[in-house]
Amino acid sequence: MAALSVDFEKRLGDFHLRPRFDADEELIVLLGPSGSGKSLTLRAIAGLLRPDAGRIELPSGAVFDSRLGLDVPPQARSVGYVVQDLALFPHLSVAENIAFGLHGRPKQEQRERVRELVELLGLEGLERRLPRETSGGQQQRVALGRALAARPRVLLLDEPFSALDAPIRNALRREVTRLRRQLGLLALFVTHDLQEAYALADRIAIYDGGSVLQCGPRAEVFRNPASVRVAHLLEARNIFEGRVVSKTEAYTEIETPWFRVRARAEGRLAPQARAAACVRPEHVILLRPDRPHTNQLDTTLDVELVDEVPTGNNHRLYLRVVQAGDSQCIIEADVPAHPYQVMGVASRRDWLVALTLEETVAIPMGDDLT
Amino acid sequence: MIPLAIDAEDIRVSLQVAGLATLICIVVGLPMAWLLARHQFRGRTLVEVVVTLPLLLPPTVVGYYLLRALGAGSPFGRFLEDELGIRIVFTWYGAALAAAIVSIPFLIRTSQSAFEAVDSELEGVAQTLGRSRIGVFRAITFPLAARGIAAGVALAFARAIGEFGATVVVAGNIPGRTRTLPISVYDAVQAGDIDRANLTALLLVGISVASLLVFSWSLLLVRR
Amino acid sequence: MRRRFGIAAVLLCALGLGLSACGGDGRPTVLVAAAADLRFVFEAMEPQFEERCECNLKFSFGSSGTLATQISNGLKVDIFASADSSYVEQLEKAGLTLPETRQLYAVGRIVIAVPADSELEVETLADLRETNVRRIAIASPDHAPYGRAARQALENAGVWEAVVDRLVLGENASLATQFVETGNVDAGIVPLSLAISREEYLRAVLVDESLHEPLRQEVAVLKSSRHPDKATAFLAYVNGEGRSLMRQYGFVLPGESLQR
Repeated sequence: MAALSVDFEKRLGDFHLRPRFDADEELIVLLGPSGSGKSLTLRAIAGLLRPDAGRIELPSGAVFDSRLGLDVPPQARSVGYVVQDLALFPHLSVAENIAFGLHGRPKQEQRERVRELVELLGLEGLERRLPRETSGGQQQRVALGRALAARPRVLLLDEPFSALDAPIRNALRREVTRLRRQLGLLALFVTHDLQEAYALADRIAIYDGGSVLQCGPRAEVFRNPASVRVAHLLEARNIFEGRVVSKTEAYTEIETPWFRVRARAEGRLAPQARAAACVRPEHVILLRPDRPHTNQLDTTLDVELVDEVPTGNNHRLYLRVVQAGDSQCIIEADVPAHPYQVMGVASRRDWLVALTLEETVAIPMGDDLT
Repeated sequence: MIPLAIDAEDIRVSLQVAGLATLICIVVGLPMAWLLARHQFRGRTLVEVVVTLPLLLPPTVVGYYLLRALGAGSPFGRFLEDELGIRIVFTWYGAALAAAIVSIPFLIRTSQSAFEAVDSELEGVAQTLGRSRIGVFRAITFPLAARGIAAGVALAFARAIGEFGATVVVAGNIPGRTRTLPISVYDAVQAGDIDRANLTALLLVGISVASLLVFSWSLLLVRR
Repeated sequence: MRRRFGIAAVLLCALGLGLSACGGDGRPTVLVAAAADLRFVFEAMEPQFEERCECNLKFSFGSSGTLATQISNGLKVDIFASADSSYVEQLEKAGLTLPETRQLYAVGRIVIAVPADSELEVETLADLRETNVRRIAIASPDHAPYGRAARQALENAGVWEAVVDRLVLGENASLATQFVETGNVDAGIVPLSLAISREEYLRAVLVDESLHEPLRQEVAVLKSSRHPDKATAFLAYVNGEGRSLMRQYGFVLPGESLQR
């Protein structure tokens, strides 16, 4: 029985929101383009948006169930919510903001809890300041402290770091991960930044147009995108659409308009089913033509280097598949700085690429699934 | 203390009437302002029209309708007096009611803007932190809207103290009971008592300016 | 901080409301709704009578018609002193007065008045037709007996048609007199009593009393009076010791003729 279970729908004008996913005590990232319904989902879980129908279940129990007419008000849901613009109370000090969720408890208890969180989040000395008198990073931590004060069992974070500089963002990311583990919280983290998602997620739910296209452990989702659309949203490059021509236990062979490629075995695809082969740029192996690849099962192709973009410690190479002829087929490959130099990439244009079986995945297209 | 030309009773009556009128404006007007600020509901436009109406209606019309509705000529008025012993017309209660009606649009519109300026995201977050709706209003909405509300109260008070047309129709000109400062000016003119007219008018200007200043200053105090 | 603002706000309201509790010296108040022409004579009577009756007199002056309407609508006064008989009659018919207290206390006269420094020569009603008399003030005939009398006089003198669009109507006789005093109008028809009280500011000529219905000024105590004894005492005073003052202020007393 999952700790968190979301399955509801809500119509807002033309937009149809109908997310469906589960999570346990872990950090689940909601990833997707802007406007795909991630923030709205958090609002519904917090109790600030009333679904038209469906069910939302938290570790403490069901908080929304349209069949039972159940709708627990926000104040009773025990949820910590950090919204995108933080919404710190401008007329209350840092300490008062953090203590806000502790209303009604003995003063002594409140003071201690605030002190605890101030220490935990490194906000010493700022207790009496107003939000506008603190920096962006400090405000984030105040918002976190405020959300955590009443010890919620679920933490909702809506793109909390998007307005911050990279160094602070990284520091806060580590902090959130540490806190979450330490407190054993179930955390939902909304972002449209793939890097952030990859860094933080135990589990990932891919959002698009109001629905969850895929939800699963991070590694699983990245490795096996459920559809081409998911692959696009995961910023996968090198997606080649074609048809399954043969299947064995070891591999699935796909014929694309440009080449034939072997992908790792994919149980669901039927022969002649439409499928896309996909390999991440970092997994494309660059080879000198005179040093061919040894593994026979892997697919090797003759390519010509047509463009490259250096990015910090990496080079993104754009390699045209020779046998594709006039119809342009480009494979993107990432080569780190050191191999780039050693191999002398800059010195020649004809190369070989190897698409390994293990790293090439067959993605189902359409509905020819067994 | 006060120049003899001014009747001290008129000052007392004016403060009484304006005080009660402002209180009525707050008690009735604040909830309405909050409703209009936060809720979309059917008939909302109608409510907005009704609330704005006293700004445009001639005060004498307001007084006239009040008189018709609550005076001895109406069954309701007679009921109030005979059964409940409550008299409104030609008493300072009537004057206060008339003043409240013409002043309430100021309070409602200003307070409505003040409430609208409070980010509803703050209220939502406050709810997730365990506060009831009333708790949210007290801890978040009201404090953040307080400045605007105070300005509205100041306007309402200043308007109430200057009210003439509706008051004179529904409450008459009874010294010591319903003769407010504005009515006293009118009365002094009739009597040819220029001294009283001048001094009372001056006092009225002074009170209006003072009330606006007091509240502007207290608005500055609210900001920490 | 917020407390200080709250206290300031409450103070101002409480000041007014609290004041309502104090004041008053324990003596009963007799409230008189009186026609506008009685302002100066009644105010002159006030000190002597208050001492006599050990009560406080308060006056609400206005046009008789307006006052009668207010009383019908719920205005609670002890005495209604009208500038004629019709309005008292109206209230008696409505059962609001004590019929046995109804009495005639004066007969009113009207005058043509011009501002004291006016260069106009206005002796008769016919003179009002002159083109240099651009604005003429009278009390509103609809609810002021003196206004009604003014209209009757103008009609009977055959002058009404000529002057009607030059008339400025005052809400009551006091206001009409004010218009003349301040020079806002060129001339006016106002009560004799007011002209006498304000003779510094006006020049006046009596209007022939045959030109209008007599202004039989009547007074009555109202049923709603809480001090009918004091009220009746005031009426007795007005028609008794106060007669000399009444004469002085230009009222013709019942059974007498004008001594001017």
